[in-house]
Amino acid sequence: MTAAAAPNLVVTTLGEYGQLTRAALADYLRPREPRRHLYDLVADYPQRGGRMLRPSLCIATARAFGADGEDAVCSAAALELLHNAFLVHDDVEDESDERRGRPTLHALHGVPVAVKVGDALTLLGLRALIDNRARLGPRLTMLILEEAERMARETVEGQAVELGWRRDNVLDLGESDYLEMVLKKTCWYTTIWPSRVGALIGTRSDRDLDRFIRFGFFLGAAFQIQDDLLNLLGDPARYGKEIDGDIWEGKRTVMLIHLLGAASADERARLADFLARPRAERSAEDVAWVRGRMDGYSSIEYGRQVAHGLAGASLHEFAAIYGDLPDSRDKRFVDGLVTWVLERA
Amino acid sequence: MSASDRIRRPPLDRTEPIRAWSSLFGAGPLNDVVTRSVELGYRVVDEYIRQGQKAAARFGSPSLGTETMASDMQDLGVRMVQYTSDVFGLWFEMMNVMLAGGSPFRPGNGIAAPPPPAEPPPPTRAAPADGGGARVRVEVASTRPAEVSVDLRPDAAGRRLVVHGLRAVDPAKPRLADVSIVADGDQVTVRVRVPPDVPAAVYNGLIVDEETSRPAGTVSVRIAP
Repeated sequence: MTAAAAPNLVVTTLGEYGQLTRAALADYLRPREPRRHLYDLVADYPQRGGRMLRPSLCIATARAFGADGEDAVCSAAALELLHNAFLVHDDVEDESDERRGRPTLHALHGVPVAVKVGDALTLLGLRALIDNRARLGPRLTMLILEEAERMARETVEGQAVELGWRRDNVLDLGESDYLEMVLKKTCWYTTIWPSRVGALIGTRSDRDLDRFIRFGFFLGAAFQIQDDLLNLLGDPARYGKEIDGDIWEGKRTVMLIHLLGAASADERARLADFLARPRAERSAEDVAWVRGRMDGYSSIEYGRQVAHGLAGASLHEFAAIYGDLPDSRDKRFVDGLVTWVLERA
Repeated sequence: MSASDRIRRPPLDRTEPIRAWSSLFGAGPLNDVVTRSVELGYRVVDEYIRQGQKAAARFGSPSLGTETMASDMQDLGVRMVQYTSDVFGLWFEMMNVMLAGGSPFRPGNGIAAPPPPAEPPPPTRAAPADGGGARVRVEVASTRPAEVSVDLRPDAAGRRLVVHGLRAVDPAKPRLADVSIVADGDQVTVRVRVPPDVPAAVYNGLIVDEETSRPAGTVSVRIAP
């Protein structure tokens, strides 16, 4: 693949498979009663858009391994519904203000309603997974459900670890702690599950799926760090979330962990005090100070280099998995995703 | 012209291609941060996979046999309820009703039988395998205990099939190269010769439709230690 062709192919394919997934989602999100109190709100986050990375990776992997794209659409829709369910609950847990350029669901409707909307999205995701049965048969449907159960477990465990770090104001963290957390919290549902399920559908076999953990881990971790970098550096008009929101929330990113390790004793004490306070008691001045220290200690450049290293490792793992597959647009799309995650703005 | 007058090229900065992680995206030379992060990443993910395999070996793989499918679904429901809110409970109660009421998960409804337990075969042995609509014959030549599994897509029968060398997850292990597949009508024969010095591992490979170059199934060979 040429460097110039890759981003174009990735963007085009994301658009195409995103459209395929949205068409399936429309069926699950159609208006029904109780609309005002539930289903109109359930459709809110999915209708705000999104890049459709996860469902597209699932469909492309299935196709690269020989399946028809339609075979993976229910799983792709399920993944998007579960992703939105996680977002609704994560926004509550993280006390986030913005999602995809608009106020978060709990900011608009309150926490109890948002929690219920997240539950409903999860159930719709499960419905979509069950709907695989008509096309894929009971055995493959059961295998995909088992994969979904594991993905949900890993994601919840990862999110719990991160919330625990914030609740207990854990400061003594290394990069390996971060990578273990992000493997569970982000990688499983962003890249590992879509790849594993795509391969399962393509090969009709659950053998040798562990290799997708390596590929998905490196790709997903690079994706997450780039996402955290965009939170610090992104264009507010395009990013869709609150710039510096991660600092406001005290989120343990690679950049914050680096700063905690590099700061002087006095600075570390001030940082610890800042992180110990609830979000409402953190000031814009404090946030600007943390951001300035990240610049001062090159924590942002450090995060960028870590992301590039992990993306490079994911290319290596891509070659090990996909190297023997016949050339196809879908194979080139998955390959191109590695560069895309670092270049997206 | 004396030797000292001859124009010489300056010494080369490098004598090998740059194959560094950090140069893949146009960054500078390999540096400590990138190297350390990649090494750390491999340590984290390999340990994670190792722990997962250990846990799987301890508890055994879940059976997908028809007789256990319903209880598997119920176990799955119970576990998912633990992870999320109580709404799951209602959903899985519905699922239990569905299972009890003659669902598609009941026995004898097209669910593939569970794979046979691992059993060391004699040096050469032919056995049937899971081949969808095709009749599959597996011939193994091995002085070591080996288990061969073949999955074929239902539409693979009658096509010209090819299988490349099988690979282990560990890229350092050599390929299992002496593998062939012959399709004759609806009969598909897979032949595997295991060299005596091949390391113990699970080796996997794709079966490809020669005409369309699309995957048509998988071959998996487990060599016991």
